[in-house]
Amino acid sequence: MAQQLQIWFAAALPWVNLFILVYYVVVNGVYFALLFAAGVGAVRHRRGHGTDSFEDLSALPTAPPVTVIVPAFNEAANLVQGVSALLSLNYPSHEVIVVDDGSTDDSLARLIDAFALTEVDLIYRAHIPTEPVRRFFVNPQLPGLTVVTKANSGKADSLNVGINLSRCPYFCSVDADSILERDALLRLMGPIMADPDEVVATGGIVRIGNGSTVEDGRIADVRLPKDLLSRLQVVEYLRCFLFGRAGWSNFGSLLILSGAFSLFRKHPVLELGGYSTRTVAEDMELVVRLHHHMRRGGKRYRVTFIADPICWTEAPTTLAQLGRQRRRWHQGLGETLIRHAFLTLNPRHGAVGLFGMPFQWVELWGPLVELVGYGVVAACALMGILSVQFLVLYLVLSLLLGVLLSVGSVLLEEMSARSYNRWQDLAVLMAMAVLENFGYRQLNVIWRVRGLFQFLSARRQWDTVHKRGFDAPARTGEVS
Amino acid sequence: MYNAYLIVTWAIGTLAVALVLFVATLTGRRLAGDFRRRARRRVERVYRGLVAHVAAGTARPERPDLKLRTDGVGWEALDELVRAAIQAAEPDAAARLTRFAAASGLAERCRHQLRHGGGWERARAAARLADYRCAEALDDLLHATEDPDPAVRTAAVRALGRLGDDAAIQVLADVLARVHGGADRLSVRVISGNLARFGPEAGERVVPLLSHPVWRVRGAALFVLGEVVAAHHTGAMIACLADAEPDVRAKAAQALGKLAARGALFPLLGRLEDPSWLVRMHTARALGRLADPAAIAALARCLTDGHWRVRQEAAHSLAASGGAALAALTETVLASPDRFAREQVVEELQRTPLLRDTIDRLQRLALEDVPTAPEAALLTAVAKGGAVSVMLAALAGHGSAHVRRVLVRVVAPLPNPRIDAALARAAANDPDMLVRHDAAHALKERAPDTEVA
Repeated sequence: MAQQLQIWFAAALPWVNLFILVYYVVVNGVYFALLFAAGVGAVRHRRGHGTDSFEDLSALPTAPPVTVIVPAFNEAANLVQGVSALLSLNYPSHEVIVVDDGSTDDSLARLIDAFALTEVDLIYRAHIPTEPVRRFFVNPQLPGLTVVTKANSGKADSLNVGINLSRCPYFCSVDADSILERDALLRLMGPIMADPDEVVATGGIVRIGNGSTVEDGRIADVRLPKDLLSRLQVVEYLRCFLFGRAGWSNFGSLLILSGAFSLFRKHPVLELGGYSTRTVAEDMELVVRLHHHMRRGGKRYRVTFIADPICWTEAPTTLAQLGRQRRRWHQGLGETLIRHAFLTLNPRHGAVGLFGMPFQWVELWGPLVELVGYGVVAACALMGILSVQFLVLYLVLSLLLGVLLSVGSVLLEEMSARSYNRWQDLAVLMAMAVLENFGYRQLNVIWRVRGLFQFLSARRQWDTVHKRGFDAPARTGEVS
Repeated sequence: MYNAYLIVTWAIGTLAVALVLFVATLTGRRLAGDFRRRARRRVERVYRGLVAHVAAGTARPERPDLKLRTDGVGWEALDELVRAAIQAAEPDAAARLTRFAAASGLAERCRHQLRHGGGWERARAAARLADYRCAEALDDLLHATEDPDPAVRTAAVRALGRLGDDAAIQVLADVLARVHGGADRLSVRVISGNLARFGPEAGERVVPLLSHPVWRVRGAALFVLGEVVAAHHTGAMIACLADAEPDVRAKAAQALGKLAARGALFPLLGRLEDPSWLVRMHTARALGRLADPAAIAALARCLTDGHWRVRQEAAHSLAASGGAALAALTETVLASPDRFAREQVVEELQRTPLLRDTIDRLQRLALEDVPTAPEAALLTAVAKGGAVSVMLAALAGHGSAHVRRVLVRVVAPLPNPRIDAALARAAANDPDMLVRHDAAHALKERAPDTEVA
C-alpha cells in the first residue's frame, strides 16, 4: 500500500510541481506589475505634488457635504477621541453619525457625557432595510453630530443605518478605532472634486498607529510600534495599500476599499440597497457590486485609491486576535467572490472582469497552494527524493521575492508620505521585511486557510477584536 | 534538472541585484532627502531674516542680493519661504513680497517653466505663480487654460481664480461653457468655485450663460451667480425659475436663496407647487433663507408635502427663521391633521433648543405666577407626536419640582412602556413628595392593578 502511494505520488509530483510553479510565477508576476504600476503612480503623484492644492478645496464653496458614518461596537477605548477628531476635520461641510451597534461596554455613556448629548425621538426612514433602531442622541449646540443605537446586528447593518440617516450626497465610512488626519477627508474628496461625474468611490490609506503619540484625537508623533507583531503588520499594511491597492487602482480594477476609511457617492449605494449583511467583508462586497451596477448601467465611472489621506488604526497585538481578523478577511474574500463569480473573466466587465476578479480567485486559493507546497516538500523529504540544494535555492528565491516586494513598499512609502523620519525606523522596517518571511508568513497562510475552510463550510462569524485604545498604557504581561 | 538550477540561480541573482538597487535607492533617497533638508534649513536661516525684512518694509524688495543657483536646493528653499510668507502676510506685506519674488527671478522662473516646462512642471509653475500673486503672469495663465494637458489647465484655472484679476473672468466663463458643452473634461466644481472667487464682477460675465442651450451650463452659471451674490441679476435668475429643466429651476431657487433676494419671494412661492420635489425642496430652503414673514404660511403648507425631503427642509427653514415661524411650527404640532407634518415638526423641534427652552420656561413662568397652559399644551402635543425622550430626561433630572410635576401630567396619558418605567422611578426616587405623589397617582391610573410603593 505504502509502495503504491509512493508510486502515485512520484507520478503526480511533476504535475503538482508544475502547478505550483505556474501559480508562483503568475502571482509574483502580478505583484511585480502592481509594484511597477504603483511606483509609476507614486512618481506621477510626487511630480504633481503642489499642483493639486487640496487646501484650496476647503476654500471653494463647491465641496459637497459629506456624512461620516462611524459604526461602533464596544469601542469605548477610542470612541470619544475619535469622534472629537472627526468633528474637527478640516472640511467645509460634514456631519458625523455614530451608530452604536448594541455595545455592551460604556461607549454610549462616554459619548453622552463627552458631547452633552440628550435623547430625542427622530424619524427613521429605512430606505435600506435594517434592524430596528433604538435611541437617538443629539446636542442642539452640536448640530453636526447624531448618535443612534440599535441591537447588535453587525457592521454592515450599522453602516446602512448611517446611510439611512445621512443628509448628504456622499458618505464616508470610518472605523471607530481609527484616527483621521485633519485633512484626510478633504484629500479623499480630491478625486471627486476633480471628476465629480465619474468618481463614485474613493479610498485612502489605512496605517497602523500603535506606538504613535496621540494628542487631542490626532496622531502627534508617528512612531513605529514597540511590539514585533504590530511592526510586522506595518510592513504588511504598506505592501497591501501602497502597491496592492494603488496598483489595482492604476489598472482600473480596484475591488477593495477599506471599510475603515472609504468614501462613496450615496445615490448608487442606495440603488444597490446598501451594504450586504450576508457577508463578513461588506466593504469589498459593496465595491464589487458597485462595479457590476455601474457596468450594467453602461455608465462611465471610476473607483479610485489615493495614498495621501491617512487613516490611523490600531492593529491587533495578540496572535489570537490577529488570527481571527485574518480568518475573517479571507472568509469575506471567498464570500464576495462566490457571490459575484459571474464577473470573472467576463469581458463586458472590462479590467474588473478580466484582471481584478481572476486574481482575487488566485488570492483566495493561494494559501492552500502554499500549504500544499510545504506539504510536498515535507513528503519529498520523507521519501528521500528531496534535493536539499534545490530546496535551499528555492527558499532563497522565495525569501528574496518577499523581501523585494516589502522593500519596494517601504520605498513607495518613502516616495509618498515619508511618515517614519528616523533612520532607525527605516532600519526596523527593512528588518521586518526580512523577518516576516520566517514564521509570520506561514502563520498567515494557516489563518487564511482556516478562513477558506470557514468560507467553504459556510460558517459566518464576526469576531470581535478587543482594542486597548491609543493612549492606554500596556497591561502587565501584554505585548506592547 | 541542470536547467532548473540554472534558472533558479539566475532568478536569485536578478532578484538580489534588484534588491540591492531598491535598498540603494531607498538609502539614497533618504540620504538625499536629509541632505536637502539640511541645506534648506541653512538657506532658510540665511534668508528668513531677509524675507521678514522685506515683509516688514525695512528692506527694499526690488534689489535682493541673492547668491543661489537657479533650481538648486537653496532656490527651492527660498521659493517655499517666500510663498509661505506671502500666504501668511497682510496685503501690504504680501505686495512687497510679490515684488521681491519678481525682482529675485523666482516668479520669472515659474513663468519660463509654464511656457517651456514638462507637463507637471507647467502645472506646478501655474500653482506657484498664484502663490506669488504674480499679476504679470496673467497672459501666460490665460494661455495655459488651452494647454493640451488637463492637469495644467486645471492648475491654470485655480491660479486664475486665486489671482483674482478680472481679465480672467471671461476666459473662465468660456472654459465653463466649453466643459459643460462636452468639449473639455475639467472639473465643473473647480471652475465654478474659482469663478465665484471674483465676486459680483464674475456675475456680469456669467449672466449671458443663463441662455446657453446646454442646461448644465445654465445650472453652473446660476451656481456662480448665487455664490457671488449678484443681486442686480435677480431678474435673470427669477426667469430661470421657469426653465424647462428641473435641475436649472432647482439651482435658480438655490441661488436666489443665497442672495436672500426679497424680490424673488413671490416667484419662489410659486415654485412650491413645482412638479419636481427637488425644486420644491430647494425653494423651501431658499424661502427659509429669506426669512420673510410672508413666506411662513407657504412653508407651513409645505409641511404636508408628499415628499419627505420637502417636509424636512420646510421644517428646518421654519425653525431657523425663529419668531413667528416658530409659532407656525407649534401650531402645526398642536393642530395639523397631517401625521407626517406633525412628526417632521416634532423632529425639528428636538434638533433645536426650543423644546428644552420651553421646559425651562415652565419654571420661570411658575415663579412669576403666569399660567403655563400653552407651554404644557405644546409639550403634550410633542409627546403625542412620539417624542417623549426629552420630557423623560427632564422628568428624571430637571431642577424644578414644578416642572417635573407638569411633565408627569404631560406624559402620563401616553401609552409607552418607557413612560411606565420613568413614572415608577419618579414615584420611588424623586426628592419632592408632590412629584412622587403625582407619579404614583399617574401610575395607578395607567394600570389600576399595579401596586405602587
